[in-house]
Amino acid sequence: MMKRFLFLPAIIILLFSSCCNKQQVEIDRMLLSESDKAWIPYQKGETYLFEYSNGTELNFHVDQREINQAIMGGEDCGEGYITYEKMNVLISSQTPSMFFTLSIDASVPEPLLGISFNSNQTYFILNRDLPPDYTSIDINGHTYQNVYMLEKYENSSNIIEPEIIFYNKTEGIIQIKLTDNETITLKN
Amino acid sequence: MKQLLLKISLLLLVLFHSACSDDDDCLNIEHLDQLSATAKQWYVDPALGNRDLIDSNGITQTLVVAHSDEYIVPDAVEDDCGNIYGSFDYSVSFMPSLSAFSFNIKIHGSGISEDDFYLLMNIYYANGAEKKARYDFNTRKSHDNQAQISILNEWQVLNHTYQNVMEIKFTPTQIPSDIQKIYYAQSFGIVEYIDNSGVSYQVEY
Repeated sequence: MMKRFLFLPAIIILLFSSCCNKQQVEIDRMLLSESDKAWIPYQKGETYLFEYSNGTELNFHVDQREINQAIMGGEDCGEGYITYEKMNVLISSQTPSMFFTLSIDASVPEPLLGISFNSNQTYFILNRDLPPDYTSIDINGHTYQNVYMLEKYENSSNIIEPEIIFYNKTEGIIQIKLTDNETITLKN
Repeated sequence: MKQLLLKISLLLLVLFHSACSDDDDCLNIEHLDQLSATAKQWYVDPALGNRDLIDSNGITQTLVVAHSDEYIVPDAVEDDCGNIYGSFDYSVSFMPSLSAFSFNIKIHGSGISEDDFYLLMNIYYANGAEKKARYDFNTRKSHDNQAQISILNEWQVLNHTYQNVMEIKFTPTQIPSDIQKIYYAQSFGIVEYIDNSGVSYQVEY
């Protein structure tokens, strides 16, 4: 009986030692502005027609356009946390079965737009603060304004995969240049 | 009551006898060696490297050797007759460079059971879906109803004729861009696959 009484305070101390009585406080909110969101023109449900360099048509469907809120910080007792938004847009084709994920993350200090190909195996980055690489460029007989040329983050030799993406705010992806010099181009 | 005790005793006796029976205790080494040799003929040396893949629309990509592994245990099983038999696992993963899925092929052999000699073909899709087919070298057929598997004497792909080709016809699923058929040549690996829209992807020799 005596032993039980000795254990009781120890259990109570253990139970309360892990408690934090300070309120978790949101210290900042990093939200995406309408101007940020406008950098990715794709809307869910839309289909975009592209053409491989031999004339084969590829349909890219917008499967997802989501803005999610996440939290960073606040793990320790009393530490403030930051709420931030991240937009992910996923476009995919059936044959070949490939997809691009375009994302803008409000928590990243630089105003970047990331484009990943097939589960991050290939990655492209656009810095929205920088001026476009081309104020005007002709691609497959069509003139596009304010076009950025994004080069693949890392090079892997002897594998056919996207190497360069031409992108602007109005059309999104205009052309994907592959490492074997073939292209997949937006068809107007 | 006596009858019940008698029945229980008989049942226990039968169970004990079946657990301790000597009938199957010796490994059939000759048969296991045959199965082992057959299974290993389907192994693909990863050093063969990446291959070009062209689809029926004329789009070219690379079939990349993404990963390979082998695991060999020389003494996986020992019988009561003094025989020791090993086990082996060879696996190779291939990933089409423009496609959001990968193939994993495992050749497995083990003396633990005759049914333990098989080729396992897994497809992992980027959306998390997965499907598989297993060919048992002992029964010479598919292990289950996820696929129909047969061995073709030869199969022609892009003007090259391959000998001994495994044709895997998957049971259709709702997975987008689902792979329906795979042709897998002995010692070479995947030579062709066809998706659910009928587009064929062929490997250049």
